[in-house]
Amino acid sequence: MLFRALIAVCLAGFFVSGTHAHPIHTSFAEADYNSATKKLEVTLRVFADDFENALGQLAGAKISLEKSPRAEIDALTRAYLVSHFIVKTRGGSLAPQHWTGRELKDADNELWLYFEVELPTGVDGIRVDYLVLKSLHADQLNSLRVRDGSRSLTLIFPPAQGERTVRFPP
Amino acid sequence: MPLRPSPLRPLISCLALAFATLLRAANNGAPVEKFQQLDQLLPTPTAQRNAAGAPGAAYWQNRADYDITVELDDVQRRINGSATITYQNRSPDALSYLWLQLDQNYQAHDADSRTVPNSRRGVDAAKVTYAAVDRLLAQETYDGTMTVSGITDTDGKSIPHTIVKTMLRLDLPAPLAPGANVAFKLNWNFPINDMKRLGERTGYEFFEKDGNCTYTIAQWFPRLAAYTDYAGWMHKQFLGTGEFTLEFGNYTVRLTTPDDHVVGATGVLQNPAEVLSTAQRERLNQAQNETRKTVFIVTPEEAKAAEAKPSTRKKTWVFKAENVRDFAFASSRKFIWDAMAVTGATFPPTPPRVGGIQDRMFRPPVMAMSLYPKEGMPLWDKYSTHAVAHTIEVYSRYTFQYPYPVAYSVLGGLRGGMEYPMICFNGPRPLDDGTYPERTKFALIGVVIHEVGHNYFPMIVNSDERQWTWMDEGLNSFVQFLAQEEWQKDYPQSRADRGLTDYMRRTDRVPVMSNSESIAELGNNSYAQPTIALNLLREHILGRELFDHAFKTYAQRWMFKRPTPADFFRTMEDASGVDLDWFWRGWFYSTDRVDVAIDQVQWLQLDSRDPAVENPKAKAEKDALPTTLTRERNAALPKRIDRFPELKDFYDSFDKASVLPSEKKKYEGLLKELNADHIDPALLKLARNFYLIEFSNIGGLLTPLILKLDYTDGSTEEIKLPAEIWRFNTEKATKLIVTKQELKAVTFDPRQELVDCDLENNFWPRRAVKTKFQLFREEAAKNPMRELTKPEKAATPDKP
Repeated sequence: MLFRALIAVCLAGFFVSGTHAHPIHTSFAEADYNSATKKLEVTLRVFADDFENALGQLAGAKISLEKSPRAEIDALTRAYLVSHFIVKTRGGSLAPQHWTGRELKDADNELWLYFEVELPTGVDGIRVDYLVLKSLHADQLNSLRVRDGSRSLTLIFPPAQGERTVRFPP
Repeated sequence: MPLRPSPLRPLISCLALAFATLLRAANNGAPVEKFQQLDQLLPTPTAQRNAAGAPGAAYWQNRADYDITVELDDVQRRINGSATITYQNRSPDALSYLWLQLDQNYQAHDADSRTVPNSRRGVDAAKVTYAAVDRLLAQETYDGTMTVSGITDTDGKSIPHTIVKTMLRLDLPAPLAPGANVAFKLNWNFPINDMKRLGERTGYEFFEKDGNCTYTIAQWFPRLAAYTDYAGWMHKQFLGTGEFTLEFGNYTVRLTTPDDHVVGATGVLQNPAEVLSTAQRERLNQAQNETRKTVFIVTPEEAKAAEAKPSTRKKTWVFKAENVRDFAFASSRKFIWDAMAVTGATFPPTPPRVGGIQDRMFRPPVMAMSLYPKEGMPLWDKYSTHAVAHTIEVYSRYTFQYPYPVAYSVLGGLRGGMEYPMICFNGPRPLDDGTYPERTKFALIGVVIHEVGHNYFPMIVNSDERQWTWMDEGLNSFVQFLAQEEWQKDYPQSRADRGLTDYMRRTDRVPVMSNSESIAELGNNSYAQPTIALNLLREHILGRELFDHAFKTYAQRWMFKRPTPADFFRTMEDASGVDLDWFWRGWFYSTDRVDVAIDQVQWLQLDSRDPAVENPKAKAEKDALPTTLTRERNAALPKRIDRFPELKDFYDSFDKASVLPSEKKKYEGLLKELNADHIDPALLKLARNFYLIEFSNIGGLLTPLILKLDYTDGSTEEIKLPAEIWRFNTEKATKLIVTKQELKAVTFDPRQELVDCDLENNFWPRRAVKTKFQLFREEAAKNPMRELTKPEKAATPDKP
């Protein structure tokens, strides 16, 4: 039986190749749980050119972090983060995300994204699906460090990884 | 983190008198494996590689010389070549077969190592990029197989052979004896791949606007695999990650291209009169005398004219290269060509003066050259050739004089860069409108330095790239870091060097000494970690002088030879005189990280034993204790002995600070004893503070301890404890310091240069370290007025 899926073809103008001297496809997120506000404060660091490509893919047109209108980039970034950094509480419900801001360090090719995730029931047992840039690079490797007070845990999201649960070591 | 209170001064009775810095020895069964010698992990020294890390007396390596005739077909976009290859067997073994690499077969239609993005892993079927679809389509029709034919000996007799995917085995009619040579011929051809659609390190880039291509061609001929003393034939399949293991040899290449093409290649052009115009040759001569600015050999206007009217005639370029391990070339009618002479570098290299006499031989300068289409301007004309020259100048200081006549940087269709002897291909370029983000500028400078630097590692110090990626990538990235530091102040780090602490915090890393093909995080593993490790070694463990000497010794020992990791580790120790086994073990063989915590700081004071000093001191301390609330409240209550003074006795008026004769006598007795033992009693009255600092090695990776001491009088001091402090116990260490002033705070790794993965436990007293989020929040909230009245100028936080 032929199964035909509709493929949305995006006109991103970049090329995705794994050539040459080993490009690095990775991003880092640090999440600190603020028990006073009951929110997870997330700092996500990503390579600026990779993220530009991701936004371009989302928008269906080429995006430039320096030149495209600020409001458009903000909106796209928010939409991208909500769908690519998915946090579910222990009970299984989706935790709402609130975007705080971003910082571009262009010379270093770094983009820092800041946002908060509401977790009124705490951070133990939450499930995270860290999909940022995964659809762009087959070898994208993301890592997340979650901290709650003195407890700390690092979760890796290599290419084949799906959702992971936050369970602090005793 | 809970605050650790420092205990109020316990008094110790001090009998030991030498107040040198003490290391407290560990109890029995303390962990010390990390300090053990590496001998168990390193291969046994042999006659080819000795225990000092140098090539042994019986060192050998084989050679392969190539005589190639090839045509670059610009219409069909194909390579057609034929060659006579002469293989020299300098090993002590008789070889019945030879292996050659057919790396093009990695792009064969049915190659099982085809990696396609968005294919099997983590695909969002609803969102496939245009590029991915295009690549899939392109792969349907593109078959990159290198068709090899006519494999014969020099008399024309056919040689039996077998092709194993990207490897070709020639079965020699008779085994090749040790010391003997064999020559054979073959022909091959293949279609060149479109780099924009298919990727890869080699291929063509098609420019639609003018209908021309730029060709950056590599891995384009069957090349001998390396036969080594430590692993036999290095004929692992080319899977795209691990790169190449090759033999040195001499090349003669006759390359036919359209006659309006500009060509750059490995080696020296033998027939400039035939292929270059008079003007071009004159400009080249001019460029040889220019060390301060670049000279156009082909100007942008000339390139533009060539683009417009493609020629159908052909010409043949003849190149000769000696002592190279590979041959690559670039060709296009679109190329602009600029050049500059490198300061202080000649070919052949100028030997150091002996006895004040310099020979009169004329040595032309080493030339730094760049080839790029107009789409590379305005970045390439400004930076590329300068970056090439800079690399040669700096690298030569740290290793050896550049032993080749030229170094090219070519703008190619690849993403990033790729290295070959004397020529490299680099991708960064400006946007279509001629502007570029700052990161592209540094991407270009960085990648040019990196790729040209690869001439040193592995093109000359010929390590095995497929087996140990870090030996060329790590060492090259390290010297690249040094070169970048000399480009401009506060040069921004490239993506390969950032985020190392984040990488090292992970628990699923693999050691640097892992086989290339199985390393997932190749960039951080092979590039960044060795770079940082070597920099720590240079700055904090060996110091610059010792390190630079040892590093140069390694580079010069293994120039034009094939080293292995053990040779590097052994040479660094051999030449520096410092035992570094704990360092290699930690940084290269383990997955430990740096995380040192200051557990406790105890303040100790000397007991002078003199009652005239100690009694008043004890009384003063007691009086200085804070009054309890109870006592405060009770102070006003009337007391009985005030109403009945006859209840007072001797003790009510006895001053506890006074000295009893028996105490005085005891003290004088002690002084007599000390005198009898020839010990100066003044030592007991030393006006010093003693602090006992306790450290824990939480991360496991042994490190020297750099401490910043802040005193109450405002002064600071930095002290450095070598990593040997951990040798009795790799998990805990203590340090006793003696100071005149009173200590206020201690910080471990004050400049944050030791790659410590947890900053919070580096401070005593504990300091709350703000997260980046909190810092951003604070800054972002600075100007609410602007934020509310001029929203387009501010970051826009969500309203809850």
